[in-house]
Amino acid sequence: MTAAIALNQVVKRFGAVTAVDHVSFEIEQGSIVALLGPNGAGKTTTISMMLGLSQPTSGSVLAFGQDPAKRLTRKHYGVMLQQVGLPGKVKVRELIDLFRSFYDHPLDAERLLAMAGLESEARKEAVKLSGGQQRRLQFALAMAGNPKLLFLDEPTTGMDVTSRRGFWDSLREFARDEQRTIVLTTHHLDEADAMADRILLMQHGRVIADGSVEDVKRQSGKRYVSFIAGASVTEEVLATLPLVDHVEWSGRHVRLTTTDPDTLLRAIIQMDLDVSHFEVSQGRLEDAFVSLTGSETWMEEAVAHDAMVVPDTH
Amino acid sequence: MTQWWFQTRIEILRNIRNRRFFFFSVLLPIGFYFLYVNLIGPNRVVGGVSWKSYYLISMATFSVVGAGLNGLSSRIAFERTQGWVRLMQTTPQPPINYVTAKIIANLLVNVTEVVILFLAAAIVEHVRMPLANWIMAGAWIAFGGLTFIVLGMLIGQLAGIDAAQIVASALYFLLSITGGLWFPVQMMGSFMSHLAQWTPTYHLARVSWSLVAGQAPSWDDFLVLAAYFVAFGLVALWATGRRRDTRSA
Repeated sequence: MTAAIALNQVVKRFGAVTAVDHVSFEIEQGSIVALLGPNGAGKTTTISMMLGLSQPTSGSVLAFGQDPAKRLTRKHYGVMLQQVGLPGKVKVRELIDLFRSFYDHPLDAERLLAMAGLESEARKEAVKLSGGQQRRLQFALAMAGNPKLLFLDEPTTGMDVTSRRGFWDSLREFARDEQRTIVLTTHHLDEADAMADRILLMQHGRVIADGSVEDVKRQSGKRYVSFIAGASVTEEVLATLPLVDHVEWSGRHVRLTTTDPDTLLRAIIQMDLDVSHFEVSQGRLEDAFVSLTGSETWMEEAVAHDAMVVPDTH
Repeated sequence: MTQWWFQTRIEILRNIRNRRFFFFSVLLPIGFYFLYVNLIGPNRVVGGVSWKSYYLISMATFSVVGAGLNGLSSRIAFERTQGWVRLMQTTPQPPINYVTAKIIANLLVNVTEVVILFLAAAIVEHVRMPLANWIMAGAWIAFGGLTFIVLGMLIGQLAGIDAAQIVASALYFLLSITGGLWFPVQMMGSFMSHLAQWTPTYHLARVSWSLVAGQAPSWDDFLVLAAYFVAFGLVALWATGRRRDTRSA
C-alpha cells in the first residue's frame, strides 16, 4: 500500500533560515501521527508542505504517491488550520454545504453538525459562535469530504474540557475505519499521548525522535520513581539517595527522576525510609519531551498559547 | 458547476445581509441625487441633457464605484490575512471559483444599485428616455464597474484589513470628485477638467452621459477604461502570486 504521506530528504529554506533540514519519513495509511516540537521546530512549515501550500526547496513530498500541490490529491484531504478567521455574514449550515460541494462523496450535513455538536447552531451566523464552537465548526468543515487523510493543526485550542473530550471521542470514532490517517499537532501532550500511535518529535528543523509513545519515552532515558513520604522523610534525607537527577514534591507525594530506577529502589529499601505506594514509570510524554529537546519552556508556551484564545463559554 | 454556484450563492447572501454596505452604496447616492437635482434645478441643461438625467448617470456611477471599492477590498484583506484563503487552498476547489464568485456577486450588486437609482429617478423626478438608452446606459455602468471591482480586489491583496478600508474609502471619494461625479467637469476649472480626463471614473460615466444625450460614445472612453482594467488586473495577479510561498509563523 502506498504511504499516506512520504517525505524524502525535504529541505525548506526561507532566505538564510533553514526551517526544515533534510527530513524524511513515511506515514502509513491508517495511522494516527502526532507531530510535536517546541515553537519554531519546523512543524508548521512541514505541514504546509504536506498540504501543498508551499514547495520544498529540495527533496520531495508525496501524498498517496501524488504531488499535494495538485488539486486532485487534495480530494482526499480534510484540514483544520490554526487561527482561521471565519468569513462574516455566513451561517453555519451554509459553510458546511459550501465545503460539501467541494467533494465527490461528502458526508451528510446533519452528521457533520452532530459530529461538531452544532445541531442547534446550524442557522446561526458562523462568526457569532464562541471560540470553541468555531473550532468545532472548522472540524466539521475538515470532515466534509469524508477524508482519507485528516490534518489537525492545534485542533483543541480554545475548546473547554468537555468540548475537548467530545472532540477526541468523535475523532476516535472516525479513526476506527483502518483506512484513515490522521496527522496532528497539539500543545496538549496528554492528548497526543492518548490519541497517537506514533510521535514525530521535531527540533531545529529535524526529526529528533520517531516512534510509538512508549518508544519516545524510552528514548528519553528518564525513569520516575514515586511514593508517599512519611513524616520522617525530609529533603535532606532524599538528597543522600544515589542517582537522583531531580526531586519533585507535591504534598507528601514525591517523584524522583533517575536513569537507573533499580539501583535507586534498592537504596531506598536498604535505608529503610518511611515511604509507601511505590510506583516506577516512564513518566509522561511531557517529561520525555522536555528531556529530549532540552527545553524547559514547554508548559509556559502551552499556557501562553491558550491564553491568547477566547475560551469556550457555551 | 455546483461548487461554483455554492460559492457564488454565499457571496450573494453575504452582500444581501450586509446592510451597512447597502446603505453606503445605495442610499447615499440616492440622497445626493435628490439633493443636488433640486438644488441646481432638474431641467437645467448640462452636457447637452437635462441635469436630472445627467446627474442620474453621475450618481449611478458613484454608487457602482463604491460597491466595487468598498465591497471587496476589506473582505479580501480579511480572508487573506485571517487564514481563510489558506484553508480554501487546501480544498480541491479551483481558486478561480473563489475569485469569479466574488466578481459575479458584486456585479449583481451593481445591477441592483443601477436599477434602484433609475427607478427612483423615473418615478420621482420623471426622467424619460427611450428604453434602449435606459438599458444601454445602465448596463454599461453596471458592467463597466468591473474595473472598480478589480481595483477593490487589488487593494484587498495589498493592504491589511484596516488599511484596505481606509484606502478604499479615500480612493472612492477622490476618484468620484476628480472624475466629475459630484460636480460636472463643465462646472470645474480647466486644471480639474484636465485631471478628470485621466480618471477611470470620468470615462466610465462619460459613455453613459453620451448615451442619455443621444450621442455616440467616444472610443477613448473605452480605451482608457480598458487600460485601467488591464493594469489593475495585472497588478492584482502579481500581488496574488507574490504571496504564495511566504513563511507562516
